[in-house]
Amino acid sequence: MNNIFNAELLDGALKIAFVVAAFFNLVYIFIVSRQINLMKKTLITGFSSSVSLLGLINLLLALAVFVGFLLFL
Amino acid sequence: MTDQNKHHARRNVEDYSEVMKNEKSTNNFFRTFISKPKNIHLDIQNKDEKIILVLRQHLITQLKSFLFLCMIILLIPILLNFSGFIETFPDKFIGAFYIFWIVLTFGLFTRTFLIWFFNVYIITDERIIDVDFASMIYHNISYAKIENIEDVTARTTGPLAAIFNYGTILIQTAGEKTEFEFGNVPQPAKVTKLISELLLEEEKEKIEGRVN
Repeated sequence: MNNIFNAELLDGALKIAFVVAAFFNLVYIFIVSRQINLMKKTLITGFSSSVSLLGLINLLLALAVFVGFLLFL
Repeated sequence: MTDQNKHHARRNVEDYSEVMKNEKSTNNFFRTFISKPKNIHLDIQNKDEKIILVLRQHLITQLKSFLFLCMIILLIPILLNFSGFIETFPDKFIGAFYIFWIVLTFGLFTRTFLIWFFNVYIITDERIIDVDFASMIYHNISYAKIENIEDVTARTTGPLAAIFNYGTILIQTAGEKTEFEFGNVPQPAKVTKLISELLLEEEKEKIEGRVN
């Protein structure tokens, strides 16, 4: 009984820790993508569209991880 | 000379700069020394202003932060594995940890690359511009007119800088921001020579009344 309780507690605590970490990562990546927009407006190069894509991939990955942790952990 | 003639009398940089005479125009915007770029523009660029040189920190100076990043990224999972700490986690959390770690790594590499890519020092035929994205949440753009430059110093320190020919250029100006620092840029001697040629041309323009 005690072991089951401990395992559930550990599971819950780990889930909260993972979700919180993924949330902070998502917020950070969101700030990064906003900054990318500012960067490519400041310095205009032929690479601008690829930079946006890089930011978008990062954002989608961070979002997928956050949602995945929230739903499946 | 009419105002319009004065306006168009600014000479091409190859006409007065020995440095730029020998440099080819490049379209590769990943380089650290980009002379006469064709496809790089600034939002604060004036209509007739031409970008002569774009500088970034020498790639070798990024090696330290790149290696540090690699070490952290590899070391933490290895340590967790060897210590057996990660095995105390339920299986689903071990998988989640590795997925999160990969996403975090991708984000960190992107951030490091972007800060290097957008942190540029630009020399135009009118101004020197320092575009400073020191972190992802801080940015600063400062510029000074060429005519306000008072003193230019190139400093090369350390064996790596000597081998790979990079250094820091300190530019004293009479403007609002009194000192510009072009940190760890390639070919500092060439850059200082170019700035002095631009200064000389600016003085000539004033004397000859070509540009106000």
